[in-house]
Amino acid sequence: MTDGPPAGRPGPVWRLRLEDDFRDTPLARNLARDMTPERQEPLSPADYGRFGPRDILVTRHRGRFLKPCPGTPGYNCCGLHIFHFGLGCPLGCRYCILAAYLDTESLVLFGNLEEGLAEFAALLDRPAGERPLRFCTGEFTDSLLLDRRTGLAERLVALAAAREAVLELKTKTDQVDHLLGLDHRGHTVISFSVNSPEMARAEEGRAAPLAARLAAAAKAARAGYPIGLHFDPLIHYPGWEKGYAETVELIGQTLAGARVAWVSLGCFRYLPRLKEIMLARHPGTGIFNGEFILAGDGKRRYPRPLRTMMYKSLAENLARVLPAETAVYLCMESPRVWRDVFGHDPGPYGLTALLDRQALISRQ
Amino acid sequence: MTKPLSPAIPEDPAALPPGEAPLAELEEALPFSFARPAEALAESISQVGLLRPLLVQREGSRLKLLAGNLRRRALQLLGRSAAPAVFLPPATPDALALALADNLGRPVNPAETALVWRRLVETRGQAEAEKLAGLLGLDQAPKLRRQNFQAAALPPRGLLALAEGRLDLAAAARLANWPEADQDAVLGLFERLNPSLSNRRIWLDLLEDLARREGLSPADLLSDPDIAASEAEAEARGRPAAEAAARDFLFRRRNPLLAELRKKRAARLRALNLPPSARLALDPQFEDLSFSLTLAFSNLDEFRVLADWLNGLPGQAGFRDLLDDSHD
Ligand code: SF4
Repeated sequence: MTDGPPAGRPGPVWRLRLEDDFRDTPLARNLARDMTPERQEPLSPADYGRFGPRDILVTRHRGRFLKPCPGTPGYNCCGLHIFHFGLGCPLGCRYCILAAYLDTESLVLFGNLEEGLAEFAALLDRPAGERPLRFCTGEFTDSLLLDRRTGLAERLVALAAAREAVLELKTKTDQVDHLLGLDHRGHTVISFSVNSPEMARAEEGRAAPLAARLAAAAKAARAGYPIGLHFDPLIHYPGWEKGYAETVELIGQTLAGARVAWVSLGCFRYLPRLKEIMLARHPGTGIFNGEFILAGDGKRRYPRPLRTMMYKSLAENLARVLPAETAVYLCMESPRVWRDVFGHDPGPYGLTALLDRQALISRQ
Repeated sequence: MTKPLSPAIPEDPAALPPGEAPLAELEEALPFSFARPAEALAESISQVGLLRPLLVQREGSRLKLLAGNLRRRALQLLGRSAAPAVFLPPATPDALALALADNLGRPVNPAETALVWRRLVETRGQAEAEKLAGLLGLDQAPKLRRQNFQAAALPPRGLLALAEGRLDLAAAARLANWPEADQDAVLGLFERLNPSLSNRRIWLDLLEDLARREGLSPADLLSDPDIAASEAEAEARGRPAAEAAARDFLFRRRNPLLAELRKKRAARLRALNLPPSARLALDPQFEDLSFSLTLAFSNLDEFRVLADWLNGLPGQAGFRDLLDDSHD
């Protein structure tokens, strides 16, 4: 019970709750180094709602650890796989899709992670396919939030470095120092989710301030890591154009000379029930003030012309500060929007191929 | 003609004969019977007498009416001050379950459900209330229970709308969180324009969104003279048209871009002059992932005419604009 804030802002003091089965695992031992564990009865999914943002629960994962990104029919997917090591996030972004699925802001880590790593290593050891396996860890939680303590990224970096794989670590923290000395051989992309300064301040809860994230990106780049940037979600608010231009400007200044492997752009989209949940938690949030349509995947999105306009503005500004070889792509967008923004549609496989190529460039 | 239920009732309740309960002193254990008129039952009692006694339990000096809220009101309408009752011993377990079970055989309106659920939670605590929820017809969904709890806080005007099916539970629960002036303003609007249930939800969405974005209250928004003007303008076409016009006014204020897109698209569609037997379906959400065109014909000649028209369609600038509005 003696840990500091998770990121760049004052945050909760952690409370570590371990199920008995996992008291003697490397994960539990790592966490218990600076937190006092409390005993936790085995959990069922319905129990998660009982915990708050200060709780870390270590429990069993019963499904597969490696899954393909679910994608959305009719929208181009990036073809990434997800290594599933935990669930939930206490950073408290107002738009976090996890809130619509999980009734808690607590962090659940899988105590049987060793099984997951073995499953994963076995998969990587199979004869290589035509394309490298691109995988990430930050789909259902932040990749690096507690990584200094869990030590997971170090092991995944080593796995990827020795095989035909590229790992993407996605974060909204500035916690990269423990990764700087690793022998990654260009197989790990460290990605930062970025936003306009106003949105980062107002809507991204306890995430590290934007400048701290970009400073961490610069450090990682100096350590030879390719960098990824995710402008996701882009939020439409009065002054958005200026706000996002400022962030692009900051990227240009901070990451000059860095190898930015890719930049994704994705406009704010949400499952309708998220609105009720978030307005109850954060009545002051402005993210639902925009205009939304209900898309075929059941999510609310900005109307297509508005998304197109925002993407175009971002893409033009990014082209001014990043080298031409940087891949700028749209996350979960329709062929129509691709054509309107970039003049071409990469098609369902084209985006995957583009990112595979980018992933290969830095590998040694 | 009224029939006496019992011999003369003494003024002092303590002096009542065993099995008689003083109606004015009974406290409803559960607020069943909201928005249920008692006149018909009173009439029936006056004809055939009270067929089922009330169910009462003593709690210290208080008398709890466990079952028979409507019967009590009917009897009072008939001017009775006491009625036959079964008295449960004070420590009877599951007395509330008996009270709930008494209402199982009849339709309970949504306002009653909400009021009874809230009373159960407030007096017995969440855990015990949940054990009894099945008897109230409330399923396991915590959201439904939450909404019932919230909706019970509506003022009588809102509860009446809920009881009579003019307000659905989700809308009622939302409205219950609003300040009273805003509740009044929107309930007044609903009474005046009688929107469908789904449109009521849209009204609430629009009002809540605009209030949040513009820092105004729903009552402020509804007092905008432009709403009244749109309503008045459409009034000649009937109440549904007036309601739609007023709602559309708010929609345009909430969603200027979407309103503009709709307007532009409608104008383009009109300019295209489709034959009446052709229907072009455009995505109302503007995602435009696919379009569809339906042609109706009853013989080869009609089809030839349509086929000619169809051949010329790709050459029409208006048609291309409809499919490709990226230059807007
Ligand atoms: S950092 Fe990601 S996972 Fe965490 S709250 Fe924010 S959006 Fe959700």
